Amino acid sequence: MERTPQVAKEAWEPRIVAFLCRWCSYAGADLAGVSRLSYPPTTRVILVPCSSRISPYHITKALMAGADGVLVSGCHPGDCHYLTGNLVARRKFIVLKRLLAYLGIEEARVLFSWISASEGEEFAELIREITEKVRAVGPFRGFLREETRDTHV
Amino acid sequence: MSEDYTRALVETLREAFEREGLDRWIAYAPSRVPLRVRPTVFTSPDELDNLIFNGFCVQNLAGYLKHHPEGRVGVLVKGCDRRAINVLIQEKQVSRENLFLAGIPCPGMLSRTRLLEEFPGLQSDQVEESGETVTVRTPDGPRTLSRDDMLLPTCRSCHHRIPEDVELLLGPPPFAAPEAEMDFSAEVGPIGEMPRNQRAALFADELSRCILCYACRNICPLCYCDTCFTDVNQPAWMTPALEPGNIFFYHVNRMMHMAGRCVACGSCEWVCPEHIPLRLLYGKITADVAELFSYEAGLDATLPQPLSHFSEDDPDEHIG
Ligand code: SF4
Ligand code: SF4
Ligand code: FES
Repeated sequence: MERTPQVAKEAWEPRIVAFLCRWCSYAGADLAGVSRLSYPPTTRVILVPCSSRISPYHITKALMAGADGVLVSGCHPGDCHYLTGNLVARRKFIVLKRLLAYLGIEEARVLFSWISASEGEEFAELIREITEKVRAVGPFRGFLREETRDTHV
Repeated sequence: MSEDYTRALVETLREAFEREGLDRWIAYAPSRVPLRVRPTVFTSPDELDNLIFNGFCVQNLAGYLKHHPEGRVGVLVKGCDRRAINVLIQEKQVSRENLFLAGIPCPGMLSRTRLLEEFPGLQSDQVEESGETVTVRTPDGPRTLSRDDMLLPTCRSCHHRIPEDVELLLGPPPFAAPEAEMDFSAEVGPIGEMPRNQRAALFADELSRCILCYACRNICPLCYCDTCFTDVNQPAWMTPALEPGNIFFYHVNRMMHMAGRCVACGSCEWVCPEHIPLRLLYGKITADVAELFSYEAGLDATLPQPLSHFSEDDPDEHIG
């Protein structure tokens, strides 16, 4: 299940899996699209009902299956369609983020944000920003493979 | 001295068994495996003759409640067994009314691994515990060690040895290590401050020994799902193939499941055939939950658990 990147460093572009909640962030991404804003084509968007739908399974599985970075985005606190989904998710994500960092995964690989349906420009900017963050840490070579990391940057 | 203690213990428990009309009593009996005891479900007061309590009673007994939900059950609890029961009560896996708890002020458990390292081939009957020492009878005469030095790593940092909210608080055993001075985060903190690469290398080293036997999950008193995420196949999150991805996936997700629930009983680390220092993983989760949500697992069965709960002003430093 581990991915062995075949591409040369120059040709490599980050692959980021973005889990976007149906009510805010996905609509924000849609707005970025219909407004013809340009941002790097690095994300693979997955539509989910709510940010609280995302569990550590999805995030770790995405990395395991070859993503270089994972973004989870939902409504701003107070705006969740299910009222408090994103607040429960916020707790879960901070624990996960700290845990992955502790185990040695670069912090830039796992990202969270709140994007509302009217924030098309913010969405485009977020993708530009995280693409650069993930680019800076380089391709993800798989879990527990310290010997192969950091040789490429 | 410790025989007298055991005899008195048996009599007290037998009396409670009969008086309370219990259906079962969960405690420990001797094992043929050196430096181990056998968690045992005693079904009649007479069977209690076989009961034993010593520094090898590591395995958390709360785990046996999840398989025996009905009837009125007595349990001999150390601090960590008691706290694990609180978590099971919070999660509605057992109900408090069905339990009769006899609490034993925990003397701190001994590290089987350390003893066997020092004395290969050691048998249980060569070990004598008394006061703050452990005496090992060797062919070259007895050797006396400090109990504190031989403690299980997790017991070195335990601050909840005396079980609270029990029906019967037993007298302290005639052997015990001094109260722990270390904090559970004492080991986790420095690792968190290492450069990322070193940390990654450390865990790559430790975890790549994992054989995915799931013994750590099976022994955990708080793992009771009928179908574990390791076993679901639609979708299959992971497979038992020994690949770094699977191993990492297993540990990260199991740790996330233990966040705000792990009572640091040390059973998982104790059972691991590969001697993986799992306390460094679960300790991290526990430290974060304590820091972020001021919560410690198993102290109060009436509180909601931190990860199934939220507050408006939770930290949001991680939201970019
Ligand atoms: S994760 Fe390990 S230390 Fe924590 S409760 Fe389960 S067995 Fe005990
Ligand atoms: S007991 Fe040890 S080897 Fe077995 S799954 Fe747990 S960590 Fe891995
Ligand atoms: S619906 Fe958008 S975060 Fe819950």
